[in-house]
Amino acid sequence: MKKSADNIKIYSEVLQEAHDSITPEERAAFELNFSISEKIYQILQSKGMTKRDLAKLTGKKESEVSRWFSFGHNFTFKTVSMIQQALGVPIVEIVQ
Amino acid sequence: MKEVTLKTLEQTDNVSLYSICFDGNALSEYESFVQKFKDDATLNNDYKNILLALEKIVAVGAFERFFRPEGKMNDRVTALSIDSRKLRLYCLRISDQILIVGNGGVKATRTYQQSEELSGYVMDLQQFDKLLKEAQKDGSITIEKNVITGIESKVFQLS
Repeated sequence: MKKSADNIKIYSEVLQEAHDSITPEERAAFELNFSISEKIYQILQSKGMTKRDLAKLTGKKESEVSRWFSFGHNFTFKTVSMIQQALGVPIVEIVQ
Repeated sequence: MKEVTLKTLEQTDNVSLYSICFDGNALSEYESFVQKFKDDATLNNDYKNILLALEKIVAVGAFERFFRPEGKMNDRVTALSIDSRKLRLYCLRISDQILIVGNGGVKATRTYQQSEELSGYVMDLQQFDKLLKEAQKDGSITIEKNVITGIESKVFQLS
């Protein structure tokens, strides 16, 4: 049994090998997209809004909005910018 | 009748990931899924997203919003919510702290019911969910926080 940096105990050699096959670049891209998705979710929660409300606000189909909250969704700057505009809250900010 | 056991795969202080094992197979259903797709170049992106999604779930919690309901109203079968139109992985979401991962495959039909392979994986989990509830009721297993106790010696009989 091996313990990862996140303190995850992995009891399976097959899964350990699978986790080890993920590159730092793949992990970083996933983390960034997940953080954006979670940030949008938190903003919706704080405003008492649903995904349906966000779909109406952005003029997108609910199925498309659902994809924004799926694991591995690859956000474009255009989409993030559109959601920021619609919610009136910054989602991504550049560190100066 | 198939004999099924429950295998602990990954654990943090908050969340445990289990999978089911058929008839004394060394590999659980989720490990078989991993073996099946690890070298498939065309599905590599979906496959990696599934691995990373489960890593994230084990770290933060198996929250309802991370899954899509796939079974019936009275069971806990879900599919991991991945931004993919191809690969599906089916799970039993017991709580925010316990996830039992099953098997999955390529979704080539509109619904899983139209695929013999995928509906088989869903039915396995539906049946196992029933057995798990019965075992909890008769006290042979207990579920507390992120741990299912009593599974070491427990063999479930799946019809």
